[in-house]
Amino acid sequence: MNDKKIFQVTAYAASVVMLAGALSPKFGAAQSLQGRLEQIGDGEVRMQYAARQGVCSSADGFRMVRTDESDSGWVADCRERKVLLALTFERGSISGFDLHVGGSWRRRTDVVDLGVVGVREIVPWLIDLASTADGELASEALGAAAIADSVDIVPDLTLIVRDSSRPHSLRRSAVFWLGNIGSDAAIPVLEEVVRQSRYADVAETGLFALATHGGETAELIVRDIALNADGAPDLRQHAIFWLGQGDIRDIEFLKSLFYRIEQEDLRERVIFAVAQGDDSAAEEWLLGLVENETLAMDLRNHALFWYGQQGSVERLVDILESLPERELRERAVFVISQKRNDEAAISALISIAENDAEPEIQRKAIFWLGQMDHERAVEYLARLINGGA
Amino acid sequence: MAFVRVWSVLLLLLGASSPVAYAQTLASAIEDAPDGFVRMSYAVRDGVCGNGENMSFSHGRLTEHDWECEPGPARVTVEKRNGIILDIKTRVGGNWFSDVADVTELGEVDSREAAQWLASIVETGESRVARRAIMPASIARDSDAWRVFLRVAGDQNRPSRLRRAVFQQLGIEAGAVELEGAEDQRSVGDFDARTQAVFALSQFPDDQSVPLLMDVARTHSDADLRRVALFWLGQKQDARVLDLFQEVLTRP
Repeated sequence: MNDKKIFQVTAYAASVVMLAGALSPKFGAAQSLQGRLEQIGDGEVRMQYAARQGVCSSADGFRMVRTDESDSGWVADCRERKVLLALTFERGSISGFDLHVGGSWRRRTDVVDLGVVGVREIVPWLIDLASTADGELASEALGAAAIADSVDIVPDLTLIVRDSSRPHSLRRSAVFWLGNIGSDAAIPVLEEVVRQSRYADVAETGLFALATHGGETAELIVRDIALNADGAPDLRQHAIFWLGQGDIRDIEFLKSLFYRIEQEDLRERVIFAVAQGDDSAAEEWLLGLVENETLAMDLRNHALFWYGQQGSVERLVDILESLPERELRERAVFVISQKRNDEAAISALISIAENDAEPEIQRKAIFWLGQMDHERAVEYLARLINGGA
Repeated sequence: MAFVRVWSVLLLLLGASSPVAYAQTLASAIEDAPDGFVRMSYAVRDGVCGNGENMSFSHGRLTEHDWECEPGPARVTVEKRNGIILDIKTRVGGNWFSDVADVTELGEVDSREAAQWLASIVETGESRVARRAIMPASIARDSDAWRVFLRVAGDQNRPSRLRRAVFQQLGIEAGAVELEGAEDQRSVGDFDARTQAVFALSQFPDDQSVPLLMDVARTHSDADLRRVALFWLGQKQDARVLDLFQEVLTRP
């Protein structure tokens, strides 16, 4: 079914419900959502409203997607752009907030179903709820508002982000949703958060939000944070991390950044960020670091570890055989051993145990064979003990 | 004022003629002692030494020290409160601390008798105290506490931590037997790929590793490898191993 058809069906359903509402004296169309909820009193109330594009159903609730398919091959179900919300009222307060995207409710007679509610009615009500409720309910209300279709929520979210009298967790939630709704109008607000927030976790959420938003402007801001020598080291670490991820991943920048910063922990973070991709350019660069004798041993070790997460056993054996440094050679044996059920890794470890010139390297290889949980490893060890290896 | 009683165990032992009577006598002496600390010393087996602070157990392997390691005696302090044994502390070599109050001195006692009493604590004592008795019982000269250890290791009613500790001790003692009289004793630190392989094998699940390690312990021609296999079998807490330990420890 195409989007147009979905819209038609939804519009039809909405019109039917609105007509039913008009005929009912209890839920008159002119009455506000708040008024209707007040009339219902305690109990469960269900309603439905349209979800924005990219809000898709998932087993654990919903998710925002930019493309139809994730790396793992999983395909989000984005056909039903509708939000189902159930509120439970107890003594006039909301005690339950149950939100789903897509699907349908099981029929029950003891709940009031308001049917389809217009987004221009539900969103202000949800924003108001987020402003007055406590803790988790406030954040849930904000999220429910953010995924509604056709409503520009950036101004509301901006107000919350800038209002220091609001709860910390709500302001963080607002930052999160600014990044997720994909509006370019959110970028200046997120930049302000990242550069000016007094709270490290809020600034870090801002970086995450920029990375989630993606695009050239967002990337430039994250780059600038990573480069800023006067910036908080933790924030710079987060910026580097996000430059290795998703939409704003930029290997060339990360590679140049590595040589423009001096702090070893930040350089380690760059190595990690580069290693997050499975591109051969990243692998070659990491190998270059491993072989670079002018670098600190810890950095070379780090590069070798992360290279090993993608690199082939054959290349790791080459490294082991070509490098003179014991520390790196030991690390290479370890990295090979981490490819647990790889036949090539078992063969390599057996070969190292039998042939390496350094007893300490042989010892490491035998040690890691003992951790492999592989029949060939057991057979080899038994053979070695009995002198037949 | 510190209450210090010096027992002359030798005098007490004059009428004793059997090991059982010896043990009863030492047990009675400790039982009759007032609350506080009961101290005794006894001879240790070959390979055990210390300086009052550090101890060394060579278990038949060649060990060098850069500190003076005295070949005993073991100095055991039993702490009693309300007639109950709260703790057992062991040192080897050195001297007694002189500034301890409420001490009952038993002086030097027979090492086998001490081992028997300590083994009885392993068999029946509260878990923590029982664990503290394992080492002093095993280092006593001519100790056969391992017979008690075998019973405790197989006793499902004894605490699991105690049984684990006893298994480990049995693995060590059985391994030491393998090295008795062995000519080719390597120094600690020498690399032997096969020794490392025995350890690596021990890391596999019990179903795979225990039969293979038992095979090494029973049949390998290298005494040191048999020792290492027994050591790692002691870490396994597997009932199948107890027969092997008994087999090795009772070997003529």
